[in-house]
Order: sequence, then C-alpha cells, then structure tokens
Amino acid sequence: MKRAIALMLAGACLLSCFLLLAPAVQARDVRECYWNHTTCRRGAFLRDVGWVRTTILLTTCDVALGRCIYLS
Amino acid sequence: MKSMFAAASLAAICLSALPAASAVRYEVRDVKTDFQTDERALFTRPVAVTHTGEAVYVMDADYNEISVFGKDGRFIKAFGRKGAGPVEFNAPSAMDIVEDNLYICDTINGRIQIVGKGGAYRGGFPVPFDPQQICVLGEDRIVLSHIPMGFDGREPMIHCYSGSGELLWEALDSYYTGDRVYDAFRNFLVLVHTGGDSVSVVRKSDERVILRFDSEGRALSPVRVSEEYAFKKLTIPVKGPRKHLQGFCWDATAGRGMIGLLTMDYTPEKDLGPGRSVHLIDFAGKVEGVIEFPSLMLKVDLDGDRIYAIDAEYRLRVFSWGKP
Repeated sequence: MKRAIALMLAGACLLSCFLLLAPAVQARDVRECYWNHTTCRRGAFLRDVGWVRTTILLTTCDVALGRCIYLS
Repeated sequence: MKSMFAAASLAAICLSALPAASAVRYEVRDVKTDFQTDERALFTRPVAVTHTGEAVYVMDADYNEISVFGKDGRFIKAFGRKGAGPVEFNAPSAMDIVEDNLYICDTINGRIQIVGKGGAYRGGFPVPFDPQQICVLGEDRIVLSHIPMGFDGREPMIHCYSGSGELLWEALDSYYTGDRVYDAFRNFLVLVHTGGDSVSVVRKSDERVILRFDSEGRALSPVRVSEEYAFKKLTIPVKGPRKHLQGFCWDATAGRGMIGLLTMDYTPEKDLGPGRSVHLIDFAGKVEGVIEFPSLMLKVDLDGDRIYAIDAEYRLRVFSWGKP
C-alpha cells in the first residue's frame, strides 16, 4: 500500500511537471498562477474519484502552484 | 440479597448486549430497464440528479448540459452548452429545483443561473466564490456552499442569497489547519433540502452530526447519526505527518422525512470511493432502513418509492424500492 501510494505520488509529481508546469511557465504573473490553481482544484473536486486519487490531484495542483509562483 | 444484586446485574448485562432493533433492509428493482443500451442516459461527468413531479434532471459537467428524462427514465430533451452567456455553463456542479425553476451552480463562471424547467433563461447573479452545492428554500432563499481555497484561515462556507443576488446570511466556518489538501476533505459538504424551510448540512468526513438551518439562518436541532452507521477510515498520503480521515458519506439525499446517506466503500486499490447502499436516517439520528443497490452509485435522489441514481459507469438508473 505504502509503495503504491509513493509510486502514485511520484507519478503525480512527474505528471505535474509535464502537464501543468508547461502552462505555469507561461504564466505572466502570480494572479495567473492562482487562477490556474483554482481551475485545477475545481477539476479535482468535480471528478468524483476516490479520495486517495483526489488527494493526488489536489497535491498536484499545489505543486504546480508552487512552481508557477517560483517561476513568475 | 447479594444473589438478587447479582441476578439483576446479569439481567442488565444481558439486556445491554442484545442487538438494537435492526434497520429494515430494502431492495431495489430497475424501472428503467434499458439503462445499458440507452446512450442518452450515459454521461461523461454527471454531477447532479434531481427531480420534479414530472421529470428527472441530470447535469453533466463535461457536456455543460442538463438532460431531462421522464420518471421512467425515457429521454425527453437536453439544454445548455459551454459558455458564459444565458443557459451556458462552465463545469456546473449542482442544481436544485423549486416550482418551475432550476437553480444551477455555474461553478467556473462563478454564478448562479436560474433556468425554466424547459430550458428558458430566467435570471441569475454572480457570487464571489466557486459555488459547489445548492439548496433552494424559496425563490428568495438560495442556500449555497463552497470549498475554501485554504489560504485565508477560517471562512464561512454556507451562504444564503435572495433571488436578486443579495447576501442574506452566512454560517459554518470552514475547518482550517493550513494543509490545503486535508482541509479540503474536511470541508466537503452536501446540502440537502429536508422539508419546507430547512437545509441540512452533511459533512462527507469526520462528523456524524448533521447541522440544520432554517431559511433565516437560525440553527435548528442537529441530527446526531447513530454509531450504527459507521465511518470508513482512510489514511491519506499528504505531506508532513500522516493524516487520517473518517469517510462519512459519498452523497446525501432526503425523502419521506428522512436523510439518505450514500455509503462509502473501499475500492480494490484500497482507495475510498462510493458505496452501494443508502442508509435512511430519521431526525433522531436512528438508522431506519438500508436500501441496497446492485452496484456502486455515485449520486442518489430519493422521490417517494423511486430512487434516481447515477451508477459508477455514469449511467442514469431509475429504481423502485421496498421491502423484499
């Protein structure tokens, strides 16, 4: 179970790099980062998937936000 | 004398060990028998199902569309599309129906839209948050909830607006630890219309007390759900120390003077997802009955002896229910 969660989290981080970091890099200002983050969370809430998967989605949103702010 | 005490104690122990009067088990039967082949009843992201006296409404957040079915599940029509204009939506998340109007949480557009049952635009107003849940107690008492972003500490999660968009009252501060992921789960709510003038607020985790408010925001007597209805525990993989959640329900509905809690179940991957039964809770908190479904359900809507549900394959199911 632990290994599976660790793998999923690692996968989520990688996924965030490829899928979410790209638009984040293009962010012109921090407001856009927060807008992307809000949209990301909304998507996670609407998915109606299990709570572990929702955790991963929400964590991915937070990781992307941090990256976006850092790069802005 | 000693033997009398001993006998009385033994009797008391025996009585307390007796099981509580068990809840009634109800079975369901498919009314909509073509659910496997009816493509109009197959959705991609169904987020809400509700009904009027004549029809069943299903909202899809991907299609940005509301589909209308007869009470037997026969497709009638659909309306709505993606956009920000009238009868256009962007990832809507919830709806409620009062009299002839549907009230829709148009989530990404940050507004409430009011649409006639046939799909005609009737009005709406913006709100300063992402509306997640809605319960309309009257055309001038529209109760909404939202999940805070978790940046700003505690904030009210329940908001009541008039039909013209004036904020009337707010209630229920959010749970806040600073961990945005964990807090989001603790702040998942379902709003349920429980009779004329009251809204019940069900937390999806860690809380078996269901709060109730009247249309003026006054707290009504809460419902403490019996321990007979069990939490489902989960450790979530968040950063920092391990966090534990106690799943309470996946969805909630109301009918026949009771609150129906859709249970949660563990998936084969040990995740916590939707379950396959609705527990009917009376206002004293007792489990009056359990409705068992043949498969996992994501959304449920009680309507007398019918239940409209969205199953885990995103299909509309129409059931009748009763004792075996």
